[in-house]
Amino acid sequence: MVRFNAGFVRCSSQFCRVPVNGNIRYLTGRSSCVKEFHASSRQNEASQLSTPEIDKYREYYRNMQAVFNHVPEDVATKSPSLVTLHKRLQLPETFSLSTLARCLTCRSSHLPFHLHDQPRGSGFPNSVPTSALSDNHGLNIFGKNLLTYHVTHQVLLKYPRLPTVVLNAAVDAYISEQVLANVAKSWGIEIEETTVLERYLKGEPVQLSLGRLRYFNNTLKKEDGIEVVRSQNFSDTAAYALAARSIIGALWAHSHTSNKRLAFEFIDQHILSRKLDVSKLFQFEHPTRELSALCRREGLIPPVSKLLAESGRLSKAPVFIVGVFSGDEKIGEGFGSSLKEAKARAATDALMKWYCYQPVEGQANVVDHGAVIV
Amino acid sequence: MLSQGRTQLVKIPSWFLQLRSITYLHSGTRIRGLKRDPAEYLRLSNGLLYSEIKPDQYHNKVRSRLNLEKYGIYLPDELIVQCFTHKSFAHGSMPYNEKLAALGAQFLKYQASIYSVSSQEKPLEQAAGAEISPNSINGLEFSNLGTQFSKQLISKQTLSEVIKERGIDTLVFWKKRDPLKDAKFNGENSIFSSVLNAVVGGVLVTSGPEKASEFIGNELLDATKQSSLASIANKVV
Amino acid sequence: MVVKALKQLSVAQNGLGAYIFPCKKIVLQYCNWGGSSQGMRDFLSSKRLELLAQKCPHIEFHVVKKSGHPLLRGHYVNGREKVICVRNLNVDNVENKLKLLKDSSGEKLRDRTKNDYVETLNSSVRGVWSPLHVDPSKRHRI
Repeated sequence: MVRFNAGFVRCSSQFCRVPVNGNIRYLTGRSSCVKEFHASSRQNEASQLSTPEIDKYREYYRNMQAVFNHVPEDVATKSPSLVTLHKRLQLPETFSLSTLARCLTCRSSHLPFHLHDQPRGSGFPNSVPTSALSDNHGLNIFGKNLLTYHVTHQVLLKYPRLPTVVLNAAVDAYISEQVLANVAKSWGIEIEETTVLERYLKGEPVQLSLGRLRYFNNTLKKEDGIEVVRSQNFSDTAAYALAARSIIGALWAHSHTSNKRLAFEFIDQHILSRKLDVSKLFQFEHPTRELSALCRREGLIPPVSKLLAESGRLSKAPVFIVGVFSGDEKIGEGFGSSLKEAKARAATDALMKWYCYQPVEGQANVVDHGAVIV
Repeated sequence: MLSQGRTQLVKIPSWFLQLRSITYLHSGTRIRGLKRDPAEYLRLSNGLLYSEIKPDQYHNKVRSRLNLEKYGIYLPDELIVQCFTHKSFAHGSMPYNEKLAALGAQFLKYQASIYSVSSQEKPLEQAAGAEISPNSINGLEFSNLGTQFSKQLISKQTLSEVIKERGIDTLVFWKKRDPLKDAKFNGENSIFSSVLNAVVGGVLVTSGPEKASEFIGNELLDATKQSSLASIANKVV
Repeated sequence: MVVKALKQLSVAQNGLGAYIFPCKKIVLQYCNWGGSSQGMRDFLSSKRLELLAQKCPHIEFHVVKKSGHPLLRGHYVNGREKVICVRNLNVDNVENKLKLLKDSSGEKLRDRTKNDYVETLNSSVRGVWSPLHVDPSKRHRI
């Protein structure tokens, strides 16, 4: 057997990278670095035990803490997942990788500040504490403001007559936490699942943790069917959404001087390109009453329902087609297996055509007077 | 109209629509089933009647108090009235400001957060710290967001103060929940803040985002200016 | 008694607007000793992986040394992964398998029956034919 001896594979117990391409990582000899360091010895840390092994671990922990508090650009460029995420989203060159790493640090990963603090019975956190000035808290708030404004504006431009509750539901359908979490997952962001101790034992370099989403996540074994509920929102959905908003906020910060529209175009392409049928958002309680109130307010002739066609009135499965008319003009049509049902559907159809009105391109701005109050 | 087994359309005779009718409009205490006199329910407690507002006492007053001309912004008369009409007025039968306020509030929030991140003042916890924060992005300080000041900047209280200090709170059409109770019970702050939000929304819709951000930046977020959001928020914090 | 809103979530349409490449990471696992890894070792010691990585900067390539047959493992943005065993394959075949993983969408493979070629979220532009809306004189009478 020929011994494989390629130049780029080093047989050490550490990870090593060849810095030719940011996105290749080489790993050898994973199993060779099992060290005599048990999780149970953590109990003794409060009394400041000092063995060479614990000192080394402290060193590793402090180094990681320092990197997260202020991400050096050269460490960030060594992280394959950061480099690939940057390319995958086609972010501009001015968007630095250290900012991208900051977007992945949630404030909920801010747990014990000192290594010997007992982390409130939750086992060791999988992240190391960061200072409040270097997490994505501010970026998230900014990204949220940016997203809400732009999405509200665009939805209103497209559908100027949506009632406020429906408008809010439509905006939510684009940028609710669940949707943004799905967006962030589809961007290929991964969460950090190992503890700091495990990372130390594997000898994992710090840049690998830099490329993963850090948030509170205890390392107690996950049991099927058991969900940990906390007063604060530490779920992975929340963390993914934070990351998505922060990336959008950071994109604005890096591009607003050179290209004002870039962040908005990014939102258009990633968020507003999603499919949403606004007519599915409506629920009318009294469509006929609401329609007549609308006609009164708009000065139209009061609506009248008329039977247009029917089939099998005396059978088990009758069908009626009812149109609702304002004067000579037909404003809506509906079907149903009873006259009452068809009439309600026709009124709903007419209301839907009013509320979901879309102005054509180039038309002057439509300022709506507000939804009808019955 | 739904006649048995017939599918033909029934045409309403024209004489039916031209019938003369007399409507009794009731004023005074409310009686169920009687139509109320518009002159009564369209009048504010300070005597302002919705249907008889005069341009120089109303629209031009609003324009001058908010300095709209200075920024080259023209709001049509109807839009100004709509911005100053709350949903509670006349049971929502007149154009009201709810959606303009929703849009304006988002735009104002966005502009205020730009103002917060680009202002050089350090947040309180960092005030004693180093000369230049190493964690600023492109010169923007994102840790300024979420502080007491940035929250106060766009709070309902601050927004309604602007309307009150500029003396246009008497022009707002709204209905009190209970005229005998105090302002807090009636939610005065949220009504007046929605008016300012609606004006921002109206400017955004009619004049576009550039002029709207210029108006907000120079009129509402200039701390040196009297009765602007920034100066009022500075006083409170 | 006004209109109420129902909660809905918008649905992703990758490629309409932004396009996110589905494959995010490929793990290449080889053995330094076993004969079945010969083609994989040849592939890794050639320039081919470097060229591919330069061409696809959005994919993370991860080379792992582990005993056993050589494997290619693709990770996709939809959360799935695909694994291909490349034992005893020569260097060209290894590269083809790698490209197969790279170009895959990560979805489960399935047969498309006849008339099931189009999958869409949009309703038909033409609408649905209704017997009650044709001219009354031409309607079918029982």
